[in-house]
Formats: sequence, structure tokens, C-alpha cells
Amino acid sequence: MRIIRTASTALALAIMLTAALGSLASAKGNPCNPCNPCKMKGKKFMVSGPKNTASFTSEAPLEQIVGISSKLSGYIMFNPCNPKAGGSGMLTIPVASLKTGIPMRDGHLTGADWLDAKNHPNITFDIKKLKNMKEVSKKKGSMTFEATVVGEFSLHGKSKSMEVPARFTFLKESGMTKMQAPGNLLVGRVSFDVALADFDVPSKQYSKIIGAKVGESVTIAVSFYGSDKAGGGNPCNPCNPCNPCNPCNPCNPCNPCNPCNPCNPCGK
Amino acid sequence: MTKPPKIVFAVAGLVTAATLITWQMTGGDSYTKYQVVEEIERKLDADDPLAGTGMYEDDIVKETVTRDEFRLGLIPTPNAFLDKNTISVATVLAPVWAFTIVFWWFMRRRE
Repeated sequence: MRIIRTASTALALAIMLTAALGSLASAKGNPCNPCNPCKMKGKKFMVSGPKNTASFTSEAPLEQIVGISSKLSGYIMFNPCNPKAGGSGMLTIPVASLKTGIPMRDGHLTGADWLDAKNHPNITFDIKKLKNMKEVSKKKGSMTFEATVVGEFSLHGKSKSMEVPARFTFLKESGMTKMQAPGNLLVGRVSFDVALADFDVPSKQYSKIIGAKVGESVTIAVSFYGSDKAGGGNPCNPCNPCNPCNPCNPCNPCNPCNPCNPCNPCGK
Repeated sequence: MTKPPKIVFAVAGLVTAATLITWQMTGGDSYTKYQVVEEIERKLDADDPLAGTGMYEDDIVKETVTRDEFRLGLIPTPNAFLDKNTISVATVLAPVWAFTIVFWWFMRRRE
């Protein structure tokens, strides 16, 4: 009797333990759990700072026109633990930040007849996915990949789907990388050609100078490095301010100070 | 030709030579600029975190850079009438030679 009671108690304990472990595992793997790391599509690498640049080159009869913007910003979602899974992201350049070295030309470039910064303030590349990921080099602390970036390029109010080649290097945080930025870094280079006519640039009044004074297409080169500690990081990190589960996140409906919370004690 | 026109022609010649030499020494660009945006190639430093990662072939970086540098151009690019970008080979030599020719013609008429 005593043996049976001991065995049944042990069995009950085993069942309870199994159930507890199972629920823990399923909570971790629960796709409905916003903090589920298994649902996470990688780390968010934030792109910001003057070292992130986008430049363009256009052939012209008198001299080559080269322009640059140091105000490239955005983010890239990438999983360094599973790079073959690809990634996504968004990169943005304010049109008004483009500089060619000649203020008069900059004024024309951002004016209504060309890129029209007033009505179309940003040039964007919405990265839908990274495909054909191919490892180029792998060393201690770094991995380099070639990939095809698939996304939508928007300029002057027009969008066009594009697939362009790119190269990325993931750098694990080290003493050397910290001199660039905190956290792990994702460095990228993308280069592609854009036909101005596809984006209705310039206006009809100036369309005759295309080919004569400005090339029909321009070559765009983007160079960026993103950090997973610069406001990005693991979205499931409870301390991440962007984590919707973070009780301090102002957007968290449970946050008592959220202005949308009817019980808001802050009265705002 | 009398002496005064010869002097004026000589001065115009000197100004032309000085302007063209300055134009060539500052890059020989078509447009005057005080800030240069251009593509350059440089070698990655050994202590750069990207050195040896394969990010750049042969660790040669092609990048676009901006730097403050005066380049006298053939053509002005002013945003306003007295803009510093008004100065150029054309805007220096045109009035010099216009004056020289008018002066020479005037002196010739007087003779």
C-alpha cells in the first residue's frame, strides 16, 4: 500500500513536472506570444549617423555630377543566427539633404522641376526580402554575405520594384566595432542604376536636357552600418523600449501613464 | 600701337595667364565650387573592423566623400549676383578683355 502510494505520488509529480515543462516550452514557442523569440524574424539593426551615406553619379558633358547624402537612416531586420532566412527593412534619405558641391545645382535638384523636395521629401527603399544569400567569408567575429535585395524604390512620388545586388557583413561586438558604434553591427553596400524617366524626373520643361546635359540614368550607391543596440536589438527583450510588453513602453495599453488608458492616473 | 594700349594688353595677358594657371592648379573643373563631392578609392586600415572580412575586394574601399576645397571653374554658378560662386575664368577674363579691346579701339580712334 505504502509502495503504491509512493509510486502514484511519484507518477503524479512526474506528470506535473512534464506538464510544467511542456507549458514553458509551448509558452516559449507560442506564436501568439508577442514576446515569442521563435517568432522573431531576427534582430533589428538601426541605421543612423553621418557615416551612413547614399550617393549618386550621373554622366554629363562638362563634368560628371556626383551627389551625396549623409542623412541615410532606417533599419534592417536580419538574423545572424540564421542568415539564409533573409531579412527586410527600410532605408530613407531626405531629398533636401542631397549635396553636389554647388549650391545652385543643389537648389535645382531639390526644386519642383527635378526631385521636388517640397512635395516628395524622401527617397525610400522598402526592402521586402533578401534572397540568394551566399556566404562569401566567415571569420571569428564576422560573416560576409552576398544577396539580392528585393524591394520597392520610391522617388519623386513614384515607386518601382527592384532586385539589386548587395553585400553585407555582420560584425560581432568587439573592441574595434565599439569605436564605430555599440552592439553588433550589420554593414551593407548596395549599388544600382535608376532611369530618371521611370520616376518622371525631370519635369517636361527640362526633359530635353536629359541625355544632353544629364545622363538618362544615374548610379546610386548606398553604404550603411546598422547597430542592434542603437534603439533596435531584440524586440522581445523586456527592457527594449520598443517591446510592446515593456510596461514602460508609452504605447503599452497597460501603462498607467498611457494617455489612451481610461484609468490614466496622470490625467493626461 | 602706342604705349598705353600695349600696357593694357600686357596686363590683360598677365591676368589671363594667372587665371588659367589658377584654374588648372585648382583642378581644372568646369564649374567653380567651394565644396567638392567626389568618388575616391582608399585602402582599408588594418585596424578597421571590416579589414579582411571580404566586404571590400582587396580591401579597397570606393566611397563618395565631401570636403571643403576651392576649385576655380570655367563657368560661374552663382545663387545671387554677388555670390562667391560668381568668380570663374569666364567672369574674370570677360570684363578684362572687354575693357582691353574697348580701350584699344578708343585709343586707335583718337590716333
